Amino acid sequence: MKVPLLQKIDIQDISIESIKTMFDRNPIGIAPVIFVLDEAILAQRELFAKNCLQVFKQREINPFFPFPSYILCSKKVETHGIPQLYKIEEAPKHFIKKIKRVKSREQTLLTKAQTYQSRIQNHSVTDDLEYLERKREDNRKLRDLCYEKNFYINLLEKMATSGY
Amino acid sequence: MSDKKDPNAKKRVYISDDKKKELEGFEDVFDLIDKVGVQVKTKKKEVQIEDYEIYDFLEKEVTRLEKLDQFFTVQMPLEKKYHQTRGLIQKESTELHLIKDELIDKVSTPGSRLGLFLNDLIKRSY
Repeated sequence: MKVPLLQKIDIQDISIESIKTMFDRNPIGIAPVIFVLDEAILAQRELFAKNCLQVFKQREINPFFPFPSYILCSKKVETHGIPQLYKIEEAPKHFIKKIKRVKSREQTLLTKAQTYQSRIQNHSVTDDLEYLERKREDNRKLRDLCYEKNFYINLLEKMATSGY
Repeated sequence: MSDKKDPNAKKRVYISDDKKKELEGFEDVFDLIDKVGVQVKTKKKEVQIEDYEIYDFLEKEVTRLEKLDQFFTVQMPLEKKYHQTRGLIQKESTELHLIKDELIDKVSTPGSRLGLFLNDLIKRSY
């Protein structure tokens, strides 16, 4: 097993078939990757993101966990679901290291990391993230209700003190 | 090209700073002195740091993945089983409704200040 370091993948074709081939050839989901869009296909970035999301769903890989898969594109990608980088400098430094041969002491850690990675991939991460998103909306609703209730309570207190 | 090594060529010795300090005064014994000076080359600190770079990365990575695994296996099922937000929203909505009722009762009574103010405002306007 290789050390999960950030890898660049040059994208020249956005068809589903070529994306599937790219998924077969690269360690997507088991190492962090960056899809570098070619200048020629910048205009088709939305279609690429949609096709890519489709393949992610088909293969039950989450683009965030355990390892992120980024799209590197200078223009905004509207399709949500895949994290985006505008510049290569924005890539997390944590995953950028010099590739070296793994020593035996590092191999033990690598095996451990691989076990955790497999465990995380066995969870329904996408469902859990969707649940958290719904919960976030509920929490905001609750916050707004609390603010409103607090406002009316203060109003009633002021009315009571002013002898209304 | 001959594969023979030059017998006079100096062998490179890599020693750490601590070892170098220990060897001070014994350079001639160990044949480390050249015309130019001490030939001892210390292993660069950058190389030493690089040695542990991957190890450090893997340690951090294991911790990160372990925490993620804990989150998805322990915290998420608990959160799903004992979720409270919906119940709290229900409770807050009911309380808010009661408070609004109380407020409306207070301001809508005949002769209330709001009623008088609005009456005055309408009289002035028309």
